[in-house]
Amino acid sequence: MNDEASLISDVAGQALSPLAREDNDPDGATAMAVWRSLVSDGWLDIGFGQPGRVSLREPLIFAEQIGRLGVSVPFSLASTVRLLDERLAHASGGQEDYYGGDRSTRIGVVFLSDEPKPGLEVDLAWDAYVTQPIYAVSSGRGVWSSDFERIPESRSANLASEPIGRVRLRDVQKVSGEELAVQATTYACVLMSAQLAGLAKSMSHEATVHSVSREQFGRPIYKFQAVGQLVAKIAARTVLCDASVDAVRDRQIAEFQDNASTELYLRSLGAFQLCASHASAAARDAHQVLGAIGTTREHPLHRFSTRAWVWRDSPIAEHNSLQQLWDAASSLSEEDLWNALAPATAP
Amino acid sequence: MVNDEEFLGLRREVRQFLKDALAQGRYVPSPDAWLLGYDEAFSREVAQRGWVGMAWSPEYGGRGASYRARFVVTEELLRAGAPVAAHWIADRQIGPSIFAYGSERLKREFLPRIASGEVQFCLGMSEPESGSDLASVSTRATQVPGGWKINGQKIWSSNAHRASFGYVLARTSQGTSRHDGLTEFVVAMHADGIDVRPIIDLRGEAHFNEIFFDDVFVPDHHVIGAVGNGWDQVIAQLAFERGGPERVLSTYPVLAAALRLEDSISRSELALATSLSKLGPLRQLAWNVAERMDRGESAVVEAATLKYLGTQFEVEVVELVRQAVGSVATSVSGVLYDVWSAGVAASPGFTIRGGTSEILLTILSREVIGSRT
Repeated sequence: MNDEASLISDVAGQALSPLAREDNDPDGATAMAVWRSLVSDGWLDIGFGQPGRVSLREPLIFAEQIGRLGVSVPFSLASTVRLLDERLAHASGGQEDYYGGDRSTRIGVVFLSDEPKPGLEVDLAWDAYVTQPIYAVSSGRGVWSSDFERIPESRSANLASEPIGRVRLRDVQKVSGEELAVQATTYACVLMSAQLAGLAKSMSHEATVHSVSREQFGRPIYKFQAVGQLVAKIAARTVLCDASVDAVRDRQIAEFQDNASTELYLRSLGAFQLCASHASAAARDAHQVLGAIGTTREHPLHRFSTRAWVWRDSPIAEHNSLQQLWDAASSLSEEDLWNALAPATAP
Repeated sequence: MVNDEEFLGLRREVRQFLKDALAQGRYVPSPDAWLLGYDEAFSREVAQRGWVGMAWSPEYGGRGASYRARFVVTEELLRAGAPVAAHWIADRQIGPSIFAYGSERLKREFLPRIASGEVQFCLGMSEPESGSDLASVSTRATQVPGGWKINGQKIWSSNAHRASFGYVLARTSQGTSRHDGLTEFVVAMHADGIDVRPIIDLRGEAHFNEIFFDDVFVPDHHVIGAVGNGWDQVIAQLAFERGGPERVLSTYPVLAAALRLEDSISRSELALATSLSKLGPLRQLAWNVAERMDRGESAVVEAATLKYLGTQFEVEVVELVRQAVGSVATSVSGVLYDVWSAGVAASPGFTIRGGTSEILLTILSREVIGSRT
């Protein structure tokens, strides 16, 4: 990480730090208060330059910090909605702020495998705070705008204590075609990849620290080969998560402009799938290293592992991303696929 | 600095060469071809195009290219499953070791000949009963007038029966530590006192060998680097051995063959997608190792990480292809059978050779935990 990236990372860490101390926020009120403050400080605008041009360098640093701290704010949702708002406004020659209103609550977006229909019930993250209408993105098909009604007594928080509820779509209107759906999916995938990579790093840190400080049978547990190797496996997983995000990051800066290329789409879906599966595996192994204490609220590991279990499927489901990855990959020749998955060659 | 366009141009150049060679029936794509695909004539053709020893300076037969450029070439050769074993060991690690540590005379004697594909090397590191313990070297080199006499035995030396020269790690003195007193040598494989005996692998083939040394004379100028400094030198060499794309792409020809099939992948598509999601990041990791080498930085830990992760992927690919295409791969009449069966037979070796996964995890564990203690 260069000096500029370190600075952004530090500032982002400070901005998010109130949440890192908060462990009881089931309705998300504290998180939303912090989020509003972040939006007014300009964090929602990072990476967005001239209309049609987005750099992912800064948003990825911020997203990774969210994961590293094990906190929940609707940044990736909001940033994706912002991208959709901007591109739709740009396409129609209108204002950047497509729907207007409170920007901190423009966080409603769901990713579906099929076309949305009126009456369709979907899980909506941060539902109590979402400004209507929301976007429904179906990667191979298009983007829809939809109002919704909440379904009473649907779940109010997920495993990571993030607010979520079941809603029923109504007044569903198609607002764009497949190209924008691919862009939105690409963008959300890579942001969530960075969040998951951040989680993996912190779980690696927790497992390492514990293996050094915890003694059993008269010696630190890392001295037992099985434990030491488990710690190493978690560390290796974090390296691969980083590499998957890096493989998108360098290309993204240069190319995520008016169109998201097939190459970026594949890399982003791949990065998300990889980070989802490896963060989950890191959670499993970190819990094994920490033993019983890791299963408690007393130890911070839960901040990361519960989010790994949630973020791998929300807002984008790992299963759907895999299907999309295969659909996109299988339409390419072996040579085109090989080229698309080549390492970044930018100096 | 080599820019993107130059890398792309290089890729295109290598691809065209491989495409032409394939069309001429010069090779059949196969997995693990960097170890099993031994074709000296093919390697000489690769060398004639300047793709062997390319990171060395021109005065030693190289092109002064970056390790990233070499990465581009090796990736494409591996992707194609081309027979590159004859030059692989010398190009990957022995040449760089001679380049880094060898005397001027040694460099001038060997590097141009490696770069032209004229000489082939095998490795003499492992010994019977040593397993993963590389430092437990009992092969001895005793100083004699004008050189050294080597006695002992090496094992698991791929293509030693074909190589013109061997790299040998031998004990030249007894130090306070097992790591002391080791020295690296270049040994002519046709020298008196060398006996190469094949080891039959599980496919019934013999690329592995045992090498017996009975008073084998090695001249002084065939010592690599300083006498007694072998351990430090061999550790540096391991980054070259472990950190290349061959630790990710040994079974890529199996995956490529499956991807080229039309309408045959009917099951477990998602498993194949899982595999594809790893391919890009692993290639990125191998690229990162090449970048570190270009900056002159140590890549020992990064290479160990790559090998640990990459070889898992190599094993996984073969299994996922089986699940995805079923009998098209596994039936003896299936269109993928030859490439798939070669991959599955080779796969137990991926996580053993060049440092077992367990040893690599121990290295990583020391690195991760060492920063906390």
